[in-house]
Amino acid sequence: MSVVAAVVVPAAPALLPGIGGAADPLADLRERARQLVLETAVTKGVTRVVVIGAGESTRTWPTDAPSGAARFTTGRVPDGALPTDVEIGRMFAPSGGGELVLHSIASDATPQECAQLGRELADGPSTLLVCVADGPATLTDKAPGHLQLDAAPFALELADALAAGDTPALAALDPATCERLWMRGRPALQVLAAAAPGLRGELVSEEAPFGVQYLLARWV
Amino acid sequence: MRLGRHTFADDAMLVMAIVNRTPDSFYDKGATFAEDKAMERVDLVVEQGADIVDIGGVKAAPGGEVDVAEEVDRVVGLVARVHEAHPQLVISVDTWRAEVGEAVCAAGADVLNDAWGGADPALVDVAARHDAAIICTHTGGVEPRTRPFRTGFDRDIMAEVLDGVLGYAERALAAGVARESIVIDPAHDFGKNTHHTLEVTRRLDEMVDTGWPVLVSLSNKDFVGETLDKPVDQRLIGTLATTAVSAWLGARIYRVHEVAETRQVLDMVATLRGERPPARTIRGLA
Repeated sequence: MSVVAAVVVPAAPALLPGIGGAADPLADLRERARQLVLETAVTKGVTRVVVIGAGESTRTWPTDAPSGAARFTTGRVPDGALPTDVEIGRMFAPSGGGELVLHSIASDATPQECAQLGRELADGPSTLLVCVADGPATLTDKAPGHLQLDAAPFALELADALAAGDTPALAALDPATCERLWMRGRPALQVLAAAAPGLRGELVSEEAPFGVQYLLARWV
Repeated sequence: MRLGRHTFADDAMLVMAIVNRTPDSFYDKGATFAEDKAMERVDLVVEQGADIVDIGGVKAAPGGEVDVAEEVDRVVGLVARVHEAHPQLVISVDTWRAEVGEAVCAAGADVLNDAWGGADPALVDVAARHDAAIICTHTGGVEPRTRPFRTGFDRDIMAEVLDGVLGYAERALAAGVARESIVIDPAHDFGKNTHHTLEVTRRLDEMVDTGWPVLVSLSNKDFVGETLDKPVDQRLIGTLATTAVSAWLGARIYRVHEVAETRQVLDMVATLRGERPPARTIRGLA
């Protein structure tokens, strides 16, 4: 057995409960991501869910690790708190039944290191990989990273790669370019590329309401 | 507290009026880019009760590159004119660059307002050489003119801010800046999201308790906009509410767009605190 399905979900901290304020501007996106993960897990009948997201280091995390959401409010974060991307992935993981694995990949991991981890994660029972990653954050004048003119074509190519299940394209993402375009999800996508070859890609939705490309994709 | 040539009482609350020689700042959108327009604004804010003008030549947000020569060109002439026309006014310049600091101090600036938290480590040496005051801000070490993106703090935000500003203040002292000429500033929204800024604001007394005078730059910022869901032209009330709370907690300098309104709020809070007598009390007393 191996990775039989994968879902790509966004990594915005505002997806975490309470962080987006009373208006909760990403509530709809959060719900769609949760539904997509759940549907995919049920449809494929997986026995294991693996969350992969960028963090300071490459390691596994206890499934009951404390929330690190306070890093976006008071800074009073408990010891052993999850990296944000992994916490977002955990939020989307279906509750009850099956094994849950939480894994971070170092933000500065090389494509080779990502590929290595991807192959390791693929070795296991029937698995759904939840990959927490966004496209560039430089899509508009008001975007967090301001406007970079090549961000839009880059985002288009990324969306195409997810739509096509194009693992070589993801594996080929250049770390320096991703950094320049404020795209922090690159390592997680490159883990996905190595962990889930041969799946059929589908881009479920794509949007950039705040100048950051949020993608929902399903590979089965 | 001494700001260049000017000395103030320990409980004085000072209004620092923003004067932008920029074509693209978020609030005035270039209204005072022309030097004559900037000078008109200086005259106006003096009339409205400003103690300090803060002259800036580069907008904080990302945008068109402004090199040292261009920044000097925008601010030095205005500093000299203000120095000549308003000798009683404190002149601050909003810059992170030592070369710009050198030029404006030579032209009469009293304060270097380093909104970018020591990005250029030589700025403190310039302040020391000219006996100017320096504003030590916390930005968490971000590059000048960048927006926060998913910035998180895995430690208490106020401990982080205090480390940043106190470390900066110590560097300024070591460089030779006069102790009474060092001011600290949490830098609302710089390197911080709205939650971070709100937490720092509600705990501003912890900064005041360090003994360094505290400057707050609140005016019409995004944390006000996001708290009240108001666009940039409807944030005055939220700004003034935050000003009142900051004054109650002991902040000393208020960097603002709206001088007259801020002055009223500060006078009201100073009176509530028992530091200023009411202007006229005759009701029930005649």
